[in-house]
Amino acid sequence: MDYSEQTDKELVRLSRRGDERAARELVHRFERPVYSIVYRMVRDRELAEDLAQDAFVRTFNHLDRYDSRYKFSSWLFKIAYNLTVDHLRKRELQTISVHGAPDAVTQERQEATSLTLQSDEESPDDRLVAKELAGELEDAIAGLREDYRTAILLRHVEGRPYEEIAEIMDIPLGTVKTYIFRARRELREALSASYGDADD
Amino acid sequence: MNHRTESVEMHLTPEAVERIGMGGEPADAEARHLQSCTRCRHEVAELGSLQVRLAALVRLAPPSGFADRVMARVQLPTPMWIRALDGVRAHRMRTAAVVATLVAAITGTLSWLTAYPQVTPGTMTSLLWERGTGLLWQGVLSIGRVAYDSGLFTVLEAFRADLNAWSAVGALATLALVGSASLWMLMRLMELSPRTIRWGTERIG
Repeated sequence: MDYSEQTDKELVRLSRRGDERAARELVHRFERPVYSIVYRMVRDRELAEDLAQDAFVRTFNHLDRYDSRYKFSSWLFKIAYNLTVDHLRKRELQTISVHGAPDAVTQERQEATSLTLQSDEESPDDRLVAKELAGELEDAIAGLREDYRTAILLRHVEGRPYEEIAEIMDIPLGTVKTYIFRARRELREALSASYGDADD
Repeated sequence: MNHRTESVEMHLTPEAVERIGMGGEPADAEARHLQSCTRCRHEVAELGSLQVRLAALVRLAPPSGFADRVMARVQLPTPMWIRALDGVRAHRMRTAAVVATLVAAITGTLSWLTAYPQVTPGTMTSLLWERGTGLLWQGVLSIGRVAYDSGLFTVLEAFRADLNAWSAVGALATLALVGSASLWMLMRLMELSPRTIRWGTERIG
């Protein structure tokens, strides 16, 4: 059986029956989106990996509680979001720069908390430009409130509809719209200089 | 209606701005409005530009070996009935043979019964009841006889005669120990995968 061709729903059904390869395929399918969201919330590679891992483990260990009427990815994102928010609330971690966490005093710590923006398809020059541009954007995103940040990332990076974001974040639909509206406004303000360039 | 009223002008609704800004095609009326309205055109362009930049953000890859580390911690559920079902599916030929034998036996019995008009469901039930209880009683008697012959009653009688607090505690402790060990063994056996059980039975066999 080619697991990569199966739907999420089918892979969940197989995982529920103890099929490890199906579960592994689901991990491969969602490791990047989940890790990216978590990383952009905590801005620490090790911590992001721990939280993303916990999210997957909790998801699979409680598959019996999953309601198949909903999308598997929504459920996974919801668990990852809750774990991350819980962690942030406990640690009262503040939003930080793309160049590393403010509490990163050593070189090693700065490297661990800085953002790596690499893509297999990009040339070194492209990467440099992308890093500069994305660095500005990443800084702007990092400056957003954590709930605004999650909502805007789910909407624009992951392409999730408003209803699903409301479900993931467990907030009313109207609140999601408000968060995204305000997040866009704040991002526009933060990026106003580059917008001016783009308009020209 | 995709337009909202503001002062005298009719502008695009926030939903329409969102849809077009996120890359959706404008309807004819919306496209006409966009051609003439600088404000809406600016809103759509701003959102579109933001969408392009956000959508281009890299989906960061977790450190290598992430999936392995996740899978090492995952305990996938494997209910007993699913394992039994898997066993049936894995031995389709054997299951089919058992089912075919059962069907043949039932069909044969039914056709034999229909050959005797005096045999009715009532007579069959009373016959089965009579034979069944008779067999059961014979079984109980046999077990009793074996137990009596083995001297079990003599041992129990001797035990009862010597019964004191210490022997009672000892007997209870032994029972609890044996019971717990049996239960633990049973639980472990239930956790085993069908493949391990097959491997074990092949070695024993």
